[in-house]
Amino acid sequence: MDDDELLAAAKRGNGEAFATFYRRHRDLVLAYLRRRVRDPELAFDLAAETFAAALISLRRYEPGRGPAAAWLLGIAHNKLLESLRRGRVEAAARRRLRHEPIALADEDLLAVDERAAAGTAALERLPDDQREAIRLRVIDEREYADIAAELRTSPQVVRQRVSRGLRTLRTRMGERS
Amino acid sequence: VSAFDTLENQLRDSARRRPGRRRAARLVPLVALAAVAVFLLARGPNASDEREAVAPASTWAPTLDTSLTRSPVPAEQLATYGVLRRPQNAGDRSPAVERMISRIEDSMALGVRVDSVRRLYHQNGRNVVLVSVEVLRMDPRDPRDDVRDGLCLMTGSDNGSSGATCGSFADARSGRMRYPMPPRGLAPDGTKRVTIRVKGGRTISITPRDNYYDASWIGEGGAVGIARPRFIR
Repeated sequence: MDDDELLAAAKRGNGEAFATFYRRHRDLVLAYLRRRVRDPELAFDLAAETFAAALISLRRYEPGRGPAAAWLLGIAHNKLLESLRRGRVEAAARRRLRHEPIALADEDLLAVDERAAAGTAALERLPDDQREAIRLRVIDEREYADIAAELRTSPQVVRQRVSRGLRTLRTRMGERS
Repeated sequence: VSAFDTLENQLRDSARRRPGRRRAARLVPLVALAAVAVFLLARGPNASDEREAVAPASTWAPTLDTSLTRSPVPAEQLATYGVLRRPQNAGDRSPAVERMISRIEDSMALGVRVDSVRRLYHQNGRNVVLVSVEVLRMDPRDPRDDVRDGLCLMTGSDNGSSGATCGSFADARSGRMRYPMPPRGLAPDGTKRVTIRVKGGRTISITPRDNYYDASWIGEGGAVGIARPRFIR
């Protein structure tokens, strides 16, 4: 199943579909967050809040407007900004879902870094043009028009590279999990 | 069982419990709005922004997804940000700005002070807009988290995409309300330079204009702010 199918199934209450979506994108989200926060516990906390918020937001997810991974990373980015603004990681989405806090053991902290590294490595293995497009669009959050100007191509081509790259990442990470 | 397994189990169980919940839509507008929060403003300040004032008694009434109000901007905001004291001009009320503020939904803010809307920056189809609101909803489900008299700094493009970072006056005044990548935000009146520590250990210095600073003006579009800015008077 592709991401859109998984999310559509999750909207209908298919828990396994959302669990698959989580496993598929967990490393990418951690790679994104771990680059921006100092400690692995904070990265895990933000990732947990990101997936909880994504689950709550499912009804508003619109298939076809862009890769689901970009939507998810947009939520991760929002959670990151929110935590910077408030000086703490919010647990609003997790509270709403009635999730119990998760205590991290030492091996979990190591696993956060391993998974973040795996996400980064998967990104590194992409073809240069796709990796660069994803970095600029998804990680650095630049506008398509900006990226196109910098890479001397069209916004459409950039969109294609981002989309293909994320699809490849999704497949590879899906194979790993 | 690892923490990752526990999280997966929690998400799986929650997804099973939540089919068709209408309440879910409440959180998303804020997420969707902020999810596109960071844009790169690649050029320097614009000297050719529209400056002609429009009549204060004008009945500009943009269509919003939340309530608008003509209540006055709080005195402390007026005293701190000169842009709020100048008359509103045509750029402040341009269609692009109207599209941007139309993205503010009631899950995010109540009582958008329509006369406070100011375009701080406009270049190459990019806009940065300051808006004062009566109530900022930090958590749409919990009114106890509401903030009175908030400010939102919105960024967006003429084609309609937009994002926002919002906070209390104290958040804005202290520099906490900002975009970290590249560093951008509000600077109070009298600020000659804004200095910010960025990832890698360097400190960069930006001259603000119209109460706004943006690291991309000095070729630091790729910088990531790792500390609050300092406003040098």
